[in-house]
Amino acid sequence: MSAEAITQKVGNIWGGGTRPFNVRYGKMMMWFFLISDAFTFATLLIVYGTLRFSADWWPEPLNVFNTIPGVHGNSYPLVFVTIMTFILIVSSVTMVLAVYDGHHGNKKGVIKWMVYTIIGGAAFLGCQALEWTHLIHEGLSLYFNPFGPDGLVTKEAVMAGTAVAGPTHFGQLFFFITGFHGTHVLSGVVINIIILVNTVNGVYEKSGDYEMIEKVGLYWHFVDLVWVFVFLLFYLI
Amino acid sequence: MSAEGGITKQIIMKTLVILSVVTILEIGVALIIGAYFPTFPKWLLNLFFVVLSLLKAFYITAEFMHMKYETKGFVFWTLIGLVLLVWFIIAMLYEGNSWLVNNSTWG
Amino acid sequence: MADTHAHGHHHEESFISKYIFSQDHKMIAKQFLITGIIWGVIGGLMSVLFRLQLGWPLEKFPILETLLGHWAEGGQIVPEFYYALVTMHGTILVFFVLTAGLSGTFANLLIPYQIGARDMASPLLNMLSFWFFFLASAIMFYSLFLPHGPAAGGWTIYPPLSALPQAIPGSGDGMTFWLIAMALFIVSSLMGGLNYVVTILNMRTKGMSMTRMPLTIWAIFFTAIIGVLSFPALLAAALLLIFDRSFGTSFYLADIFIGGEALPQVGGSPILFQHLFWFLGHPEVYIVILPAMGIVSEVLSTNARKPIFGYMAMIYSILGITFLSFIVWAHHMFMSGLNPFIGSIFMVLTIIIAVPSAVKVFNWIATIWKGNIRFTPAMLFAIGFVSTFIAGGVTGIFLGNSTIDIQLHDTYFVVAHFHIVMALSAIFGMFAGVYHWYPKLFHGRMMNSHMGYLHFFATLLTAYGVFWPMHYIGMAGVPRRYYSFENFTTFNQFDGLNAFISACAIIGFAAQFIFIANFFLSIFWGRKSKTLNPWNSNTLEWTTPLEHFHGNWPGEIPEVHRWAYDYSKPGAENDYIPQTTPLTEEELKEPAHH
Repeated sequence: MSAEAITQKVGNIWGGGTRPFNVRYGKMMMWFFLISDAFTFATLLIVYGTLRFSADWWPEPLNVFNTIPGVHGNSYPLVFVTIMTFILIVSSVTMVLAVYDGHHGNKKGVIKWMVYTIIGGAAFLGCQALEWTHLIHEGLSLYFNPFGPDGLVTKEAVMAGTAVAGPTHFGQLFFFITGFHGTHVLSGVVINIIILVNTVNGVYEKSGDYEMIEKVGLYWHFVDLVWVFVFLLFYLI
Repeated sequence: MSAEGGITKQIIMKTLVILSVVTILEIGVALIIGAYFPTFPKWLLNLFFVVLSLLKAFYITAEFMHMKYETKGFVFWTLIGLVLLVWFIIAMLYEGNSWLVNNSTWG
Repeated sequence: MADTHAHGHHHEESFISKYIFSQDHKMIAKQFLITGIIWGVIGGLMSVLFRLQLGWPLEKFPILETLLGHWAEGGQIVPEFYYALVTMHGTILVFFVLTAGLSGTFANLLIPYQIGARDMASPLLNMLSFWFFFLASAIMFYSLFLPHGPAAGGWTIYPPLSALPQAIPGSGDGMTFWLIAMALFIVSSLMGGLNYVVTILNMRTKGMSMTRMPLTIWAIFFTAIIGVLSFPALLAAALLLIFDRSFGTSFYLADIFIGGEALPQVGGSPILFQHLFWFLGHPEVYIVILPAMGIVSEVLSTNARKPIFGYMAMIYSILGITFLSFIVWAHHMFMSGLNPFIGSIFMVLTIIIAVPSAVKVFNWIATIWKGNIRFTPAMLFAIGFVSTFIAGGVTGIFLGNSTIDIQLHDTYFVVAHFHIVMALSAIFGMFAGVYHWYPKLFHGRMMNSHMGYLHFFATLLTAYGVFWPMHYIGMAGVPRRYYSFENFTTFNQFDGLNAFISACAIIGFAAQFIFIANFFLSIFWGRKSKTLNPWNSNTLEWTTPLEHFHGNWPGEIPEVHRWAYDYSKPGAENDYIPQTTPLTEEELKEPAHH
């Protein structure tokens, strides 16, 4: 069979002069960027796994994340992080709805859902700030981990030799990785605001092309996707 | 345009429900096992969490990130790179464990 | 419809938009090339300086003190400066010359030309990619003049030297600048790589199916993929390192004593950094070598007037190398205290790389076998590439064995291995590409071929003169990265050999000025090619006009009807058939060409 015939047989999608995946370059670039970024997060989470496997003891998540900021008592394990997870999932849903309305050329719908998405992102960041503040208040830092084998301990007790501290890597990795994720959320919120302004100004209405919403949407969902694994590794396992 | 059609508001809501249910299931199992079955094998529990998380990741990628509605070639050639992480994870976790063994054997 | 830009019309551009902030792929290619050449000279000069020390360790060179001041007190390079030199030599050559200089030049020049596109998918990102690289270059260059010198802990920046600012003079500001420059470099490489991949996928002209693309494009395609997937590991590693340096975390630090005082950092592992670094570092050597392989395939086939042998096998071996490059990283770490069991798995995976590499080598040899060879300077460098790739690759099989590596690790044997297989081969590929595509870069001007021959033979002889003896020194156990061997009486017997190596290195460095003179003089006074297609090549770039303008082709982009390697086809009128020539009736009846 000649080369010409082969190209005709596969319907010419790879034959040049056309997009083989029927995806425009901007969206394809966004996808490949996300794969690249996934490797960055994967590397960080692998560092977490390696250091955790090399530690002889690791704090139980249920005993660390057991409070709700502003509510007294230590008997609400994982409740607050569940709220954070829901905020992120719901903001993902509002983002999909913005993309959906974009495809139908519904400017008002796009604006409405983008606003909700931005609020969701900001709420998540606020919750993260509360959680960090609370943990720092409990004594967790880059240099000290109060969650030892015998429960919450103070730095003074450890210095005096009457208590055993937890592995410092716990705090370092927690702050680094959730911080890196939070930075992604923050930049996502900023990008979303820029896109919202463009939408309000009718940039995409004029060009008749709301693909930009889809591209930032991909980034936003990626942030949600990463949270699934951060949640898994820090809060569940 | 590749993104035309496909996803509907009904599917979006269905995905929301699935993600919520899976998350609640994860939390619920973590809490119940933590409180009442402390001797339950840890590796089995972790495997359960990993599987559920991969399930969530699948739904986010397929529906929210629209992968279910792209051409098969695009999905394959975009995601195939992640295969490279498998050996990275296995090798590094094995290494981490061997550092622990070394440290506890030789001090 | 493909993503094409409606260009092809002329309009006056200002100096700045034409030469500086240009979004045109040809100008960006020239910018990368010239920045790369400047870096090459700086990096080469560094090697001359440290070879002076290694070759004549007791000799004084008063001129050095005049030039370098306190770095060469009394005419002899001081140890701190020696370590800074080897560190920056590695960093500059690996990242700034052989990654950005090589990929940046030829990906930008060849992708739009050879696939038949008006420009890259995103010319803006392409421009930013260069300017991020330039910014990284400027910062790295500035770091050379810091009061305490640039980074000096080796180009692999292993902690603790890199993680503790107080460790050695180069660990302070020099290391900080190194990290900033490399962060910008990663951004540049990411923007470039994403652009290359989507351009190749989406913007091929009509008829340019994936299996009709020249092997240069295939090689650049996989190079870009490797870059996009491996640089994130360095990014993550560098971020954690910054935390260790600046915020007192202990990801890479454990049980360090400085001046008898224990540091508070405990529990980390410097080996962790080595893993992360080499998860980038190993793919990085393929980022360096693959574009050279693609260029060589193209140059060998064109100048042997024969179709490339085993076109599909070439593509599959590039794919195989790409995959394997990500799963062998720890073979750089056999001696680090790596778990021996996992080390043996890495050993097996490493040695498998010999298979696709050998496939490529045999295909190149088969391509020129009984060919009607034209010995242009480009062809000589391409043949030189095959020689160095074999000579350096064979020692890779030795080093890949973890048991033999115990003896050879961190000796000059390793230095000889990676310089021949990676540095020389990639540089030879780069030279081959520059000589070959020079008429395309500079409006039909040709480089002087007599100077080209002189350059080739001087480079080949001095390069082997430098690295061949290093194998023997290495096998005898002489360690690399040592400032002086005066205290090791056993190594005194190699003093003469070391002086010979240094002499070769200096002559080899001087010989590069033949190339540089040739390059810059030919821009203005080079012979004008009489035809559009001086090498009688098949690929699309030779159908474009000599004059450069944004859009490449004045009219429609030509349609492609055949693969790039129809050389010396029996029954054809010429010994080459450009890709734009439609298939004849007879050809349509034949079985598939490839």
